[in-house]
Amino acid sequence: MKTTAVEEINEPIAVLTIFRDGSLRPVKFKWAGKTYKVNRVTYEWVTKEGSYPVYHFAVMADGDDVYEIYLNSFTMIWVLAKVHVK
Amino acid sequence: MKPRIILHIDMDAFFASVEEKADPSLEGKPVMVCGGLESRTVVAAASYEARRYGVRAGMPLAVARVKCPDGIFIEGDPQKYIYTSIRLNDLYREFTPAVEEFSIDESFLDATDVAERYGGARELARRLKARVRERFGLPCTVGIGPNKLLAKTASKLGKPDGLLELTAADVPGKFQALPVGKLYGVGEETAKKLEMLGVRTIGQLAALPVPILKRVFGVIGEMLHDAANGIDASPVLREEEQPPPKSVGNEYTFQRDTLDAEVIRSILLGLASKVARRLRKGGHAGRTVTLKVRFSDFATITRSRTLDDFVNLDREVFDVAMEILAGVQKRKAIRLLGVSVSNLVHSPPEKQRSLFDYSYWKKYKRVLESMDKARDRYGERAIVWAALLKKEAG
Repeated sequence: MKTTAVEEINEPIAVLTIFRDGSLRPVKFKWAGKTYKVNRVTYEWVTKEGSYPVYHFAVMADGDDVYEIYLNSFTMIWVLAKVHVK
Repeated sequence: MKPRIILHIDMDAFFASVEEKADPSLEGKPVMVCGGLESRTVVAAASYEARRYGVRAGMPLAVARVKCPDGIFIEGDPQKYIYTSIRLNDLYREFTPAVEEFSIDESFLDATDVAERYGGARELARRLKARVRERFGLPCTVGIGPNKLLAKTASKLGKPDGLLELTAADVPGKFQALPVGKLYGVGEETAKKLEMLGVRTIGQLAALPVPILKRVFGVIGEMLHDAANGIDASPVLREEEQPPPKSVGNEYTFQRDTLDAEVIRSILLGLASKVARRLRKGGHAGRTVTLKVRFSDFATITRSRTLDDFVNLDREVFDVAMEILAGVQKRKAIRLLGVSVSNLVHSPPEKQRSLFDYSYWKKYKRVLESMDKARDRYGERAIVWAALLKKEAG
């Protein structure tokens, strides 16, 4: 029985990001000593922590695995929130 | 007067579709988005593949797991859906400013003045669907009608990924041939009562005399009669035209049913604080505090107390909720608690406090103002009452 396809991680990560034309795009990220190349941003959304926007991305990296990462614009820390386990 | 052109846009299996878009490997699989992954939660949205197994929104997770053992269960991410919903409505406003956000995944558009510009209502609907697909990659169904009722019925019939129009000419045929349960506003209970009257189709309901409907259903009897005849004059209300809320409330389902007084008190404080904060944020205060208690056997009671003054401070709402709770017999463990405040007023007048506790409330209000400022700036979790840190463990 498949109970969930998503695993919560919530760990800070280093992300190579391109800031262009008022938007940002994660290109690569490093988690647990391994570097993951972002092949595709599959979904993006914005939430708010008080008056500060938090930029969320679902990205396909390292093959077709999906990772949910976010940048908190107050702390300026990228976080790996979830991994979609296949 | 020009006949109205109303569009009803209904996102198909919205939460599940968003999750499929975020993780393309889920596409074509039975996906169920739930409030949580504990067996006491319910399915919030099921993909069409999951629906083939008989899974429906609102079904307890435990039942869904039996019906669809190989399904993929995902804990929902409300913020993701709320953001998408806001952006969808922004997109609709590029076509017409007359947009009513009916729910997180449904909107009404009044296209009466703009449809011609797009070559008619159907062409407008086609373009809208294409734009939603292009910008968000999400499927939706658009219903077109001369009013909200027929537009909503059309989208229901056109699902999924459809486009359907119901005109006034379709009322005696297509519309009235539908089972009465398909009529918007007819829930399970009403459908059961109607069945007892021998009413199975919308047409049969339309033929019932209004006095009989009024006798059985009271004030909604006349509304049912109008609806069954395809009559609905309700306007599409933009955000600024929406009536103010009638009440503000929050509920909490315990992870395990409990009789632990400290846990119950802590949860109640959390609920009262959330409700009071929402009241203050909206500039509201209310006179009636309602407490809802659901026990382990699902027996549910609601008790209200109407006060002389309007309240919107955490402590005020909490004290009343605690007083009500004290009068409730707690022989069984509690499964759910809910607190709401109604009888609302906007911009409440400054309250006259007694001389004895004036200074306490003045200080308390100042503390809350500081807390609100911190939350406005850094988020709701930036500052909480210490008592809430002892909340339900595990």
